Amino acid sequence: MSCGNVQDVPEVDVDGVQAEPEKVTMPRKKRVRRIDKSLCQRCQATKSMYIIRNVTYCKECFDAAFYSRISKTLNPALKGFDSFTSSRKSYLLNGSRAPRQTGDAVLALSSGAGSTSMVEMLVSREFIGKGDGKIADLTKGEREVVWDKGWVVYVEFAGVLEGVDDRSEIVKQWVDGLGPGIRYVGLRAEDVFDAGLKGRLHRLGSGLDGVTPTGGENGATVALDVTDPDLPLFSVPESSSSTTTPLEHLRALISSLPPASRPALLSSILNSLLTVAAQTLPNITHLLLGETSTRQASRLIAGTALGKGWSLPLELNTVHRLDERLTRLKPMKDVTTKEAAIYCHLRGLSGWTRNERRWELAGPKGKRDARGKGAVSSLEQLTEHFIAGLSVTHPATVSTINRTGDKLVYPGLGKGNIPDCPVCQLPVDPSALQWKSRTALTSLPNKILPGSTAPVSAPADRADGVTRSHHMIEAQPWTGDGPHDNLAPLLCYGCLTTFTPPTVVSKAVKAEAKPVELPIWISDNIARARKEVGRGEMRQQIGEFLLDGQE
Amino acid sequence: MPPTPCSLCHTARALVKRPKTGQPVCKDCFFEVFETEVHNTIIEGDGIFARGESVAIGASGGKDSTVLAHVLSVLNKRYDYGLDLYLLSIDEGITGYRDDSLETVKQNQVEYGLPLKILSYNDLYGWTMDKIVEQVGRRNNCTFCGVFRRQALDRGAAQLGVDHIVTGHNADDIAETVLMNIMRGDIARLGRCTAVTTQSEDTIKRSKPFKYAYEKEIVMYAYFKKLTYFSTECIYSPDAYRGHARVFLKDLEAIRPSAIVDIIHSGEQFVLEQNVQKGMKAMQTCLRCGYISSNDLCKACALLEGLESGLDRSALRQTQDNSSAAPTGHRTIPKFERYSSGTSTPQDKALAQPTEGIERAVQAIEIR
Repeated sequence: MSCGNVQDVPEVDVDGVQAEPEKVTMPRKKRVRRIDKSLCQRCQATKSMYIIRNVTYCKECFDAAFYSRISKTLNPALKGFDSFTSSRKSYLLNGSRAPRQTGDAVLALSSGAGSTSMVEMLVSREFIGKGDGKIADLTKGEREVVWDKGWVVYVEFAGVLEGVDDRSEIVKQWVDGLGPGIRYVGLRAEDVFDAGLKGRLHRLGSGLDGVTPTGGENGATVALDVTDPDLPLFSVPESSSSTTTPLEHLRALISSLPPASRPALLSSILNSLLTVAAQTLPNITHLLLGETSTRQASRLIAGTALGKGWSLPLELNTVHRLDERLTRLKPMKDVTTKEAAIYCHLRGLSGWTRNERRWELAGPKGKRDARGKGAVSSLEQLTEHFIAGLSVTHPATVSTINRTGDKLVYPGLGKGNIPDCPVCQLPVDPSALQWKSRTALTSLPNKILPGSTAPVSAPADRADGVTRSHHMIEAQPWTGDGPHDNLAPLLCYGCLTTFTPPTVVSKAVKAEAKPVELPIWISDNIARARKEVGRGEMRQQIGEFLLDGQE
Repeated sequence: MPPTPCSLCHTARALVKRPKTGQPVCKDCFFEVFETEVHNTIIEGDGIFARGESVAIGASGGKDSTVLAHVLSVLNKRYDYGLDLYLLSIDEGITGYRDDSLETVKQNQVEYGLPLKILSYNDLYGWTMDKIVEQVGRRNNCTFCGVFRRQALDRGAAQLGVDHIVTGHNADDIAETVLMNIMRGDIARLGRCTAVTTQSEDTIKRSKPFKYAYEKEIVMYAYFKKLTYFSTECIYSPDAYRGHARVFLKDLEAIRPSAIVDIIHSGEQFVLEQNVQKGMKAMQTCLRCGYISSNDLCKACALLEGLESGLDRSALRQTQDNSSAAPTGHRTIPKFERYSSGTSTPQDKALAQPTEGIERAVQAIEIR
């Protein structure tokens, strides 16, 4: 074999035919493209400030990339997109504005980086108009808005979270400064027991009144015995509404559940309040959530751990139709919490945002677990910590989990009319109760003694170790009617797990416990499931005609 | 303090608290409820077993397979399943781990009077896990072991002439697998990892009767029944990715004990998009060893080629789309022929028409 000196090979031989050069050279080493990470890889001009997904960005390019990612998620989901030609679709997919929508939008704001950056971006990029119905003059270079008006809804949980400050005023101040097309709607978690909530939202939507932050009349109609595995339901006695505030009812409900179940309940409360606001405020077509890809990944893992596999694809969907008029969107789905936090920092908002929900602080503390570790009592919080930790050694964790979630579909498609769970308002998985009872036997058929009562243990030996505290309502004799029916067969697997009591409940706890009242939305859904008209619904129809003191 | 009565019989004194439900139960009721739950898993739907079936119990000498052998023997007699049971063990060649646990399997053979077959990686592939780890390192060695063991179990079952393999995978294992497959984006496995019975074209049926049995309850059962088992974790497993899922699962269980079955429930409900299902490759047979595969080469042959080539972790990335013969000098896996079941007994079939005895496997390791 020759040494491979190409110059020695003649180009043309003596007969004038071009000679084939010998394949004598060593294979060339693949050139490694060296990237100068001190420069922005997008514009190649300015000094880079951030590294996102292995790409360096300067401030302006980061801003543009951030906007581009959100609009690529948002645009295809907005109405009118399908009517465009394919060339227009690709134009829109490249980040250009979607057409003007027929209605207005509700923007859910938690004051976390995701929702804050979403609201800020939609306002600054003029997705939300001034609320005056004005059509843009495109010939003058004006940009058409997507929604004429936006309602920013903030739900405060400080009333049930020990040691957490109330941020309603701070949030209101920021929202009020966003512009004339943005209206602030401040709700509180305990409003789920407030019969006057829809009326207040109607008045706010009509421009008649603001939403009062506290007070309200209790509208609960159904109560639940959480110590019984069948979850029997009772009618609420008329007397309770005059003595107990919605906040006290919510605290009682939270205290009655084990610590691990409380965040799931609070999540259902948040979803319910956002949905009620979007369905009650006038002319709302879209509900936008600021859930980032990091939060989505946590939701998938935590939802799996809660047994919600059946309805999880509906929760994870970027676009989900809530009813004929209202669609829920998640425009931040492809943005990580880190990217959202950087955006907030660039806008001077990083001192304002709060990313941790702190829902594990709801209700009285449970005892330390069997391994002596008591720091984390919430599945959701544990999942967030786990994903954050794993992302350090495996950076593709969040994106991989989300890609897995994107490939799941709702199993109930095409299987007829499946009832919704009265708590989470998602479809109920078939035979959830039977599945639970089959996989974990709590009784043996040949061992049930006639007339035997529920299993008994020592008074202090409650499986979840919840201690009593001032959060529990002082014991009053229960005067309601019932039980009328059981809640357990109506619930999805996840909510059944949330409300199912520990297998062993002490005699003392069982004797002292009384049914806890359920929020209005659950009462109404139970009545709907029974094909009844709920008392809450009746009240809404006649509320303005009721004189003071009438129940 | 007065003694706590059993939550199930309400008469005997409770000795343990069930990890799955938190109920205080006496020893006898614990045995009964544990065995009844396994029986319910076996008879659920159309049932895992057919009457008269020959079943090989994958036996490692650990707690799961030891308890499985015991419980299956008990339930087979009690409920008259009519099964012929065998013990099938795989020797991965891990010094200080597998060699000790195989002694336990031999004890099980004597205790339950079940025929035992042991197949080793060294005989089948010419490699032990010790040698593999020495070459590829400790990060991805579980992939090699898992792939090789799966094929080894099928080959062992074919040699025994059985139609069904049962393994001791418990609820904790399955929940870990669901979490792991979500985190790694392994959609294909996510779709099938919660099935109690799996069977592809031309592979032997595999079932997991302990699908809903908690690991802690298996240990409790073995403890109170005084069953002996080998109790050390694989020395090569601590660095595995599964370890992350395991730690997370244990933390979840500490917060809510039902999280394990809740994860399994979620996994059972997952349905994949049609495009994803259609995109999955159709099954074919490996061009080298004849084992079931979705590519030209099965994963075991591809990994073996990588090992024989002296590759380290990059052996994992050996292409499976390679229809050429193995390079000169490389060991290959013997041809796999699935024995079709007929009316004669498995032993008769094995003698009359041997597919591959262990001796033949040794002779068949060709070095070309």
